[in-house]
Amino acid sequence: MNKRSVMVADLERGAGKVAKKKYGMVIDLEKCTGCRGCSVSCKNEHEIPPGVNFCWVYQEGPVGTYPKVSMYYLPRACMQCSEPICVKVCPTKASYINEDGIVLIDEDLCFGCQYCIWACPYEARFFHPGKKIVQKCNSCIHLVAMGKEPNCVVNCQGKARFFGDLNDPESQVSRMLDQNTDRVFRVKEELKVDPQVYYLLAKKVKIK
Amino acid sequence: MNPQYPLVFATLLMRLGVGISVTQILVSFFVEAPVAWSLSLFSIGSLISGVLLSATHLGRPVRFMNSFSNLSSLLSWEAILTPPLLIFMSFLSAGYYFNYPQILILIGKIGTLAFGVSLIYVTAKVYHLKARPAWGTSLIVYEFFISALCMGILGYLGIPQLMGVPVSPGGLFLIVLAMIGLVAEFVVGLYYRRYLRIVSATAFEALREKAASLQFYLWIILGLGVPFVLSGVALIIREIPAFLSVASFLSFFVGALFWRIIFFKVATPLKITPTIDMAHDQRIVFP
Repeated sequence: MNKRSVMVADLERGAGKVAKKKYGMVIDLEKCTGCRGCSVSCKNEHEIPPGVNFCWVYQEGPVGTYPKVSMYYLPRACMQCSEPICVKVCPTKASYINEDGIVLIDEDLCFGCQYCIWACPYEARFFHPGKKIVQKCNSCIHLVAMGKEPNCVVNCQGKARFFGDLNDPESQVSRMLDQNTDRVFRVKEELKVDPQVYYLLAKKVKIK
Repeated sequence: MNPQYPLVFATLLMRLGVGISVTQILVSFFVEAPVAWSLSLFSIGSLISGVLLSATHLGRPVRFMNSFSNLSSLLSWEAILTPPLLIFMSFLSAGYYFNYPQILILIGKIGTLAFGVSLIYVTAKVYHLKARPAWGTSLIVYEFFISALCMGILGYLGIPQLMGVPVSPGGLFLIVLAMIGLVAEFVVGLYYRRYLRIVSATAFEALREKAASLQFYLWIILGLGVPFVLSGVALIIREIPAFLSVASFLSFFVGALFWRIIFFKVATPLKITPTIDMAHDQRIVFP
């Protein structure tokens, strides 16, 4: 059984469970090629207007001089924080966390003040110019509810993205985190927002 | 971040309205003189204009009433504090006009002071966001209070001249207070510049960008220098000619406008990507 089938089996198994889930993502930077396929597939899935993205890929570097040169890509979407600043600051309670730990926006409540855009440390939110409200990645909740993976995970060319229930110790994401403790990091942990997107460092790179 | 002009003007007008009201109340505690009720009406108008302008910033202004929903959001608190403040200010203005009994006037004054100061504090804290390094300092709160004080005093002295109503009492003492406020604002501005240099390279770069740099110097000249010199002249000649008070107020307001524009420009996002340190075996360094 390949990794993808394992992940799908996890989600299908999880879809029928009553136990509290906490969906999260693991992104292996060793495998990310910076193709931006995640951004394109996300745009297709959510019909996002030009100029803005739910999902984007940062490029750090290249730094150094040949032959000692280094560079990496850091894909980012909503970090689905467990203690999200965006939810705390939203004056309308349009931003909320659902029972599966996914941060969502109630489009009927949002009045487009954009305060959450300022407050999000990960620049995960944008103002939809047509709808005049704020939008963000919802981890393709409509697909996940059917036991499928988010579109960025399905279309990741390097198979660098993994999605699953972090509360389930048997899930692939939980096992990956257990097996790669020396490579795991989360972005801006010191903000104490408990992001649910975990990164695995490229193998030759170490955390200082 | 691009300057959000509705909010630039909204916060200035709100500070102007609250500043004038608070100045008017504080003066009335020390000087026995009739209060210009038209000036208190002006401050109500200024506050309402600020609220309406901030509503134009919304994507869906018709859902404005949703803003009262989340008590853990300072933006909700800004919305919650504004109506009682307006009620107290209106009550006080009516009290001045209809000569309400002193006890009712005092209730109006205390309510206006309490809600006015709270609103300035909450508005300043709204910008206190970890995601924007330039705003992650309590210097912002000091700046909001000092500028509200200066704007209130200069507006209190200048606006009656523009409106053609009798000049309010307490002139020269207030001029001294305004000059102290202007010096304090200058000091806070310099500390803020230093703070930006320390905490965020991109924010400091945004401040040093050509247009922002010009706006920074315009803030020092128009927002601080000109009102300070004109106030000094008034102090020397021991009277406040109409030209001086009007020019001081307008100059300060325009300067504060430039400061607010810079305030948004320097609010660059937090750098989230760890950098690679080639000197140390390609280790990544978290910003």
